Amino acid sequence: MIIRFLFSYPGMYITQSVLHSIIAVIIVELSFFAWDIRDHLTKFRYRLLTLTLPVLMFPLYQAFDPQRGSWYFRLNTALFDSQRWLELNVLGVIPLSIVFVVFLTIVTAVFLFQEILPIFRDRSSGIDPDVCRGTLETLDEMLDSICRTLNIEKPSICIIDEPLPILVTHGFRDHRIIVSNHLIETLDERQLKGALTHEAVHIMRDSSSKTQGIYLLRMLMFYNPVSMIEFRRIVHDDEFICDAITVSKTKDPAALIGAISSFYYHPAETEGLSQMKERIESHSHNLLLDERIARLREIGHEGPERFRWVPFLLTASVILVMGYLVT
Amino acid sequence: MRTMTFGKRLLLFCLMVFLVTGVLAVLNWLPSLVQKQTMKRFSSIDAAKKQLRIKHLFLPTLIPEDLRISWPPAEIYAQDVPFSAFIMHLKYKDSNDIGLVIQQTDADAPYQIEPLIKVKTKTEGSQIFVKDRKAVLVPAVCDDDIPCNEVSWNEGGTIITLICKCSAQEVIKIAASTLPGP
Repeated sequence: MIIRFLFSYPGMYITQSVLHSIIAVIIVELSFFAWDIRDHLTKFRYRLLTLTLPVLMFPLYQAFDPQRGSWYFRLNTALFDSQRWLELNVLGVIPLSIVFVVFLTIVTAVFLFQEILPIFRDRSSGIDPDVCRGTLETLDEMLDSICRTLNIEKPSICIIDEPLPILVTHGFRDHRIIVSNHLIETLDERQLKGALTHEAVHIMRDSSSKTQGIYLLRMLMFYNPVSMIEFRRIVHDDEFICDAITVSKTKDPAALIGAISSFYYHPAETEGLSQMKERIESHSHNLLLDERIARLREIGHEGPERFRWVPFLLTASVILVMGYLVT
Repeated sequence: MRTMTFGKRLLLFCLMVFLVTGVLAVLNWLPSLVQKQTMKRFSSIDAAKKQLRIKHLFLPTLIPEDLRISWPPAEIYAQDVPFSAFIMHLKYKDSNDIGLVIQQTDADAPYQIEPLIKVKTKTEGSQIFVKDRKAVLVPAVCDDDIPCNEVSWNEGGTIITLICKCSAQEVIKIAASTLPGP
């Protein structure tokens, strides 16, 4: 029954979209190496290929060439035929098709627990606008000057009582920057300006809407492990992009590095499963901060590099051609 | 790395793509080492018979000369795993087009093997007899809007299907010639 499903059109879509994502991510990573791509704005655009193309590739190929799904194509033309593997039995007992379906089910469960459930949890424990302690005149003036430089509408500011460093931007049209008093007390004026400029750049780039759009693509591919990883990398790339734009405006990478450093988080060393989860999460959070600081030290106050279309189009073409031959 | 010219980078990119292609080709070949009896192409009917455990083959002994379809088959595909199947593609003598497809597959197969000649529109099938076996004849329109006919029946647990770009009488004649007896 499982094999029959996997050989049907919905089953082929699921299998091939996973395979096409793997091909796309391999080609994109090789492109980074071959074309010496280090700039995160460029990486962001390349990584979008790994999320967008696999959603469309199978229906597109079938529309242009209905014979592509046939056994004849798979046997004589395809470079790689997934059905050959799915028909195999591991140790002659367990069909590989079952192993594949179980793997996709685990990925789907991870998606549900890690990405869908927190949305509902956060909705109930979100920041209450009533807890805003108003704003500070100096902060207001600073943001005013930043927004004039970036040519964006000034967002509102909400200061909250929190013992942790918090700085986030909410909203799609009417933006609001939420900042904790802990952060205001910790950072000096230059660092605070760097941190606020970074948030303003998110508003300028419309990061919230972009992330939502990309998340929708990721949701469509909820069973796809590659989409799960690439979505996170794209979100991380956005942070690097905003860092690069920030220092190109402020010309003060040291201040932004100082601001970023204040976000390091080290949970208390105690035993227990929830503590272990927290330690893993904080480790990955701190690693990202390390990478951002290292990148800022590398680029100085240069902005994002010029985007080169020829390597990008070549990469996209290779993904599309190879995807056509991977069934 | 930083000082490489565009041409060298392009070459490096092409080499990497070539490498990925090679890896995919190897990965595609590996299952055939584990399961040798999956679908593959054979150079002749005898070669297929030798390598696979085909119990009985239903081969036509008559193909009307005026159809200009050549024998032996231009393409032969067969498998034992996951179910028994034997497919022959017969081309026209004067072109590369396929004029006749003969397929025999296990009646208990979990899925159908789509014939290479695509039937675009089918009309209601009628029951006929092919040497006292109950069969279904389906007049249809195949690729390139060419009229064609499909005949199929169950021969002791094996579904035999013939799709021919020819008349109903001609395909019935060919079908009958695959069976023993007068």
